[in-house]
Amino acid sequence: MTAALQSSPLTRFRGRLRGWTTPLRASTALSIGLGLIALHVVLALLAPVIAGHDPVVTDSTNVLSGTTWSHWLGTDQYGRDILSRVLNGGRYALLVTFLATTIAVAIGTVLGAVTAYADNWFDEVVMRVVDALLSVPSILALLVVVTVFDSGLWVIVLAVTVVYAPAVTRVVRGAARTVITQDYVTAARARGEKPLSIVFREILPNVLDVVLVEYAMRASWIVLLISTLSFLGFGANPPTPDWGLMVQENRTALTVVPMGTLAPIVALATLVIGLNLSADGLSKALGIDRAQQGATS
Amino acid sequence: MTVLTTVLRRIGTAILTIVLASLFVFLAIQLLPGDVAQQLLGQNATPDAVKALRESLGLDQNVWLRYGNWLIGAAHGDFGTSLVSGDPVGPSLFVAFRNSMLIAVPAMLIGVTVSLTLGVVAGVRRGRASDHVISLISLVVMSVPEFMVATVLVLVFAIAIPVFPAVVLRGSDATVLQLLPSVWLPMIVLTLAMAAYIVRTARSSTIDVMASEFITTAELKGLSTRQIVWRHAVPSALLPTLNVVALNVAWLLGGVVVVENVFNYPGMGKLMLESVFNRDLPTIQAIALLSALIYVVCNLAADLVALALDPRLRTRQRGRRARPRGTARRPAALAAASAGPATADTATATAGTSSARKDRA
Amino acid sequence: MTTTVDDVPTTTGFVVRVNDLAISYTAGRTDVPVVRGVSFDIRPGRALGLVGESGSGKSTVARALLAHLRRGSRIVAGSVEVAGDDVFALSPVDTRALRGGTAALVAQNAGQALTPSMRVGRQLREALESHGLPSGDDRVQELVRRVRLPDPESIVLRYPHQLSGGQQQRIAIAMAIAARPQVLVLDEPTTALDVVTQAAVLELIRDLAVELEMAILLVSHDLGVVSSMADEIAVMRDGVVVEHRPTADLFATPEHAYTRELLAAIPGAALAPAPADGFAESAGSAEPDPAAVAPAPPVVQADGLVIRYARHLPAAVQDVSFTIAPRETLAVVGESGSGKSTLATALAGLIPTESGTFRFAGDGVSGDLAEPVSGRSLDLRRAVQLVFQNADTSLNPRRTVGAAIARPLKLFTGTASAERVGEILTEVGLSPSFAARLPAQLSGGQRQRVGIARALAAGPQLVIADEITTALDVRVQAEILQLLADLQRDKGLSCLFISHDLAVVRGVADRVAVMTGGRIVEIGPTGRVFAGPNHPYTRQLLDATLEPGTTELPDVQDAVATWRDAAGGGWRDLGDGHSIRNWEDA
Repeated sequence: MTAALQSSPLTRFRGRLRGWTTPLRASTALSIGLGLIALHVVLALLAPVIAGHDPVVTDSTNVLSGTTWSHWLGTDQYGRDILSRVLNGGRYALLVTFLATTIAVAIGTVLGAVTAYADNWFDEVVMRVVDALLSVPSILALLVVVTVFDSGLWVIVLAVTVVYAPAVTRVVRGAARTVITQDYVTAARARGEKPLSIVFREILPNVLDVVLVEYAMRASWIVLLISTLSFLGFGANPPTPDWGLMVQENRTALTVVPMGTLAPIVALATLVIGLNLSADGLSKALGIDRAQQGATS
Repeated sequence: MTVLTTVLRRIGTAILTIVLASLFVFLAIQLLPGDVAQQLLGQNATPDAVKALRESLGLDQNVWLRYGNWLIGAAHGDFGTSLVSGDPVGPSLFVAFRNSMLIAVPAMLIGVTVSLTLGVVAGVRRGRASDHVISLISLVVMSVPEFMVATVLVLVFAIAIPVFPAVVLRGSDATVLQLLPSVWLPMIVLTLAMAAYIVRTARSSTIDVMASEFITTAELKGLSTRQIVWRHAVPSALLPTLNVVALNVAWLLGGVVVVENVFNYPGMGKLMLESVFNRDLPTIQAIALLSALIYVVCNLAADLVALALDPRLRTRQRGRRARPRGTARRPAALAAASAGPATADTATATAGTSSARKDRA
Repeated sequence: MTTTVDDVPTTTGFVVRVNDLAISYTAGRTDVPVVRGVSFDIRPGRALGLVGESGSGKSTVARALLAHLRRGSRIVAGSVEVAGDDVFALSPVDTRALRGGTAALVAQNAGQALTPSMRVGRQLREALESHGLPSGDDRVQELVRRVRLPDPESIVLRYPHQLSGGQQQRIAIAMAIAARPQVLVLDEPTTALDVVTQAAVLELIRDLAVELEMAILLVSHDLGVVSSMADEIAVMRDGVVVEHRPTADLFATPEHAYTRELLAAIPGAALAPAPADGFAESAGSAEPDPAAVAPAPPVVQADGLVIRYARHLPAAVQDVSFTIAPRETLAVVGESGSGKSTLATALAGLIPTESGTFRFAGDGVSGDLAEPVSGRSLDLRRAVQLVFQNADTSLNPRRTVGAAIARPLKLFTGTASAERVGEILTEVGLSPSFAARLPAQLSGGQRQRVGIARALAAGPQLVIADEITTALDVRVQAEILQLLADLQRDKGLSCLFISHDLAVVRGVADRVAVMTGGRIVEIGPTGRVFAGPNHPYTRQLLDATLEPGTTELPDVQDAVATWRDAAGGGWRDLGDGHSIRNWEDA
């Protein structure tokens, strides 16, 4: 509110910028992780420009070719360009992951902070429901939803949200419970601030670091889960370019055209490693001890 | 509060969770669109036939009544009749469950032991070569999906060096003995996938504990590193790891879906996939309930082990509202007054902790 | 392992020799010197005190005696010799023999220094075993008896968390002396303890040192503790020893400017001799205030207060009555668990009272303090403001200082301009430019000033100061107390001052209430309470307080209660508002 009294907006911005980039310099893991994620985002955005081939066009005269000038990674059993399919395969995965993670983490964060502050019957009820939801295997829940509603983008996003929001709730609640014991929260209560004001002003800003790490970690789960779904034949429908699906299709020809399987796997693995490294680096840079928080929740 | 009340309360919570989970599963499946009877019989079925089937399935009854009947039946091991085969769900689920356990239990035992050891070793030797190797391998294994690990293993151990069969050729009627040659590869995949997470949690938790004051005390008492690690550090380091272990064990059920599918192994995961594909609702419900039960039992076991490991949990009253928040006195504040470098040391050590995977539910 | 012990260099007469020691800490690419050019020697049976503020490097030096450096630190120059051996040149096996064998450490917080998952008997046994000593049950119990713990048979079976802080520290001491070391390093051994326990533990350490002829290195920020224990004192600042003299000399004629500053900042020392310009003037003597003519009605009136955290728990505050007059400071003194902070919490409206009357009647505001915050009017909430013990946790780390102060301004006055925030910051001695900073960019003292500014922003009539100087170094503590006193005088505030430290209270309070076990046992004007006669509990507290400069340890019993409430109850009035709860010998 009245933050800037003496300093100009520019110096403030510089200060803030410095604040944001400090963790980057402190942790190589974080730099590499964010770099990998950025690379994936750029490739996904520019896929149509750099791919060179239509990812779904088949070419029966050029099946299972090795590396050639026009097909750098060769072609699959239908003669489709593997590089183009890998590049385009990332778009769907990234979009679903981004949407699902954002929604799940947002819901989980607010719910976690509110229940931690409430600390009454509401907290009790929410936590029992969260426990019950967590006890059903996520893959089963997703399989059922996808079979029934078809594997549309929003169906998957919502299903993943329902599966993951409870876990986020639990972690954030654990973090918020430690924040609540701090004196600044007591000070706000003594002033007579409204509960929601306390949750949003005092608690949420102080669990944001935990949430950030949680975000990176959940995203890595969700990428893997979605590709697994496709691999099992319940996700993206052929001939959509999708990493999980590509592995499923090219697995049998692994010895003939290893690139068909390896390329999507490498793409998937680098994205997940990027997310995992970011989560590690963030928690290191922000000084979060996830093991401890897990123990208190 | 005595240990007994704590344990009883915890068991009560577990039962409540199971019941709630069963309710969610049941209701979710009721909410699925489409008429089960209609779907079973196909589009050309006569309305009479549909009506008859609905009655025989009990679909005309009140939802709550059906839930009650189902739950009571499930408690007695009666999960209804498969819509596909017409046989009772129970026996075929039991066989599938047994087969899954055949790969999951050894995977669990080996995975937990090896990964806890590796995690502790990496944590104690933080920053050295062995730590880097362990951390890097676990990161990579964690980042590669199970279906890929499975594929690679098949390529190496079934095709390049044919020691194990690539896929199981027998169906769900195979006996344990017949399955035995085929369990190894799936088992290895499960072990790897599970171990990676536990290694990382155990590592970061060990690093935390090794930075704590009581380890310094033990060190300055003149104890050997071995004594310090195994006697003083490990019990405390295992505590936060327990939950992760429990969740991973429960997660094996999800893991078996992929692994069993790749290897065509006739376990619960494969049954799950088939029944989802065929919309065999009673089977799905039964699998979901069984999975929830395993999840809850694993967590319960983790809590009870924690109770055994941590004397503080056993003997201290842990009433949540014994003191209202904000009034908890912090002796640490007194300590902070003059701790100086020591405090800073602990702070940096905590900050240096890498993230631990809490759960992957 | 006794090979190193046998050839003690009696030739030199020193068991510890630290020579020109320099230690650096490597953070990233920069090298930070932690200790520079430190030299000292200690003879067997003698005690050296190492005094300094946080970050002065005193703990680093202490731990170097056991060849222990924290991660990232290294010896840049100099040497540390214990019993004739250069400790940093020892083989791993010899290092282990040194640690706990020749030299032993007692750390600050025994609650954290004992392994939580092991019974204390087992930990004691380990200390014996690791140095090749017999470790039967009788030996372990003998150790427990040595540190004067009752009932050794049952204590050895307990886990650390089942012991009180004092008991934990005694076990830590038993563990340290297990192998009869020649050097005992004490790193803030009593900082986490209550004053009576502190005196008893120090006495134990001194007796053991005499008995075992140990050389002692005592690290503390507390001049009282050091002066009563040490033969010589070395004052450290920024990694350098600025003055090293025999204890009595140091207190009599401090030479270095920093030492003089430290001594001047001792609570009471700076304030008591100068009543003319302080707030201490009102203490003891009747003030020449117009209000004294016709005593103004009290701002806070409590009568028979009972506060309980949960129905099944015993009352945390039992039958407590007191008043706070306008512009008056009432100090509540007691050990941890006495109920003093509960009282503050209830006054702030964070817990409801169970019974009794609790009223506020200030300037234009009155209300029922028995109501929790949610039931209090805006004006009442505004009139009563809290300042917290630990400024580190009392400010939201994600919000700027300006935002922290603007929030109560907005809430209670409706507007919050940057100018007003700047004014308030100026009042607490900070420049308005601090508004843009985050708490992490402030020092401990500055944070506490912001904490006070936040309370002031509301425009209160009563300030609750809950151990506000406990976490601060002694010089900063003096500044904060002075600030509070100035503000109180300028703004005509009343104050409830909670503290465990009688020395601090003496300087700031008009009246003192002594609490123990949830009850007030004595209440009266500060001068009268310090002069006596007293309730035996107050006496015990007063006796146990270590005055800096005294070289004597008080003889205090911490285990046995010497009194109990009189059967008939009631109070004895000593006149002038000084009364004592009736008691009888136990």
